[in-house]
Amino acid sequence: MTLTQTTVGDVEIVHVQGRLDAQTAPELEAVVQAVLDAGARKLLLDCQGMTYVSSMGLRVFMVAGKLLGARDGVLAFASLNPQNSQIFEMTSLSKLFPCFADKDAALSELGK
Amino acid sequence: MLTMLEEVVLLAVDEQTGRVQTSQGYGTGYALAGAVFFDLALAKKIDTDTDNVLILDPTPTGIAVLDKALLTMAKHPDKKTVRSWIEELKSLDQELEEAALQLLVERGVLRHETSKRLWIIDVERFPVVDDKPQRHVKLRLAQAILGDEIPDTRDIMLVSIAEACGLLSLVLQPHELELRRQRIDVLCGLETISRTVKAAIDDLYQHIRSASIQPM
Repeated sequence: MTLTQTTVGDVEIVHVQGRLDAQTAPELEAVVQAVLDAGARKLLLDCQGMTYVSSMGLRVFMVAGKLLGARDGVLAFASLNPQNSQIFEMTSLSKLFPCFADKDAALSELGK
Repeated sequence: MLTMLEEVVLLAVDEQTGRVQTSQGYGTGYALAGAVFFDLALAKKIDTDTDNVLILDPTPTGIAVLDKALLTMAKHPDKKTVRSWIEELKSLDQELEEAALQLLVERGVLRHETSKRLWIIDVERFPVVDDKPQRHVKLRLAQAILGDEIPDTRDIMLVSIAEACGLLSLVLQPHELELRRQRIDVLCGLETISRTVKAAIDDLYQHIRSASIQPM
């Protein structure tokens, strides 16, 4: 898995590429924690290159969402492929977090 | 900290009578199997995706009942689906319940009492000695369901297992459960293990219903 970070305005973006599973979930957890420690309140996970996500990966999303919620922040997702969109529907994650077709659509909404 | 298996069984202990109760008897075995799965996932021994289980680390957790399940799974790498393992562990439901009760007795949360009914039949009771853990479990469940924020992972798991074996009615009033039905459904859908437990219980009841209307 490869994680890259960018910032657009007040939105922190983490691009997730590859497999998010038991082996790689701690890496994402650490990056998310660092972003939150730096004071971010808007976090966008751009999942364009995310090829697989296991339950442990999904739990990292939940923890991030909980931490951001506690500071009136928001966690959002962009560019879920059809397989991941299906997982988000099945697990109701799409009801808990805003999901956008792509990064630009997410930024135009989160940047408001 | 109690295991998920202990928390679910503790929830089912009537603090007045010391008897273990669930309102969805047939499904309880699946719920206990699900609790073992969650314990192994929390210990980072297994991971799951939408269908399959992956053993991450077959070394013991130090809790005999979990280690027995983990060892069994590690010995059968050909059996991969969450459903097949839930079915397998479900057959150990009596053993899982007894192990959880024993752990709770060892921790000083419950006391084991036996008596005779009609001078012949052995009756077991597990009166609550220390009610703090049970109250804590009930409080966490109530907060997870009645609140609007995202609960902790453990609490999401607990809600889904308690819902599967009909234990939520011991914590919240019927009108509260009805009012929060959507929230409960969302929480129960978040984990593959609880979705599989629910599907297994639904199939079981479907099977029972079909069998009961078969012509003689």
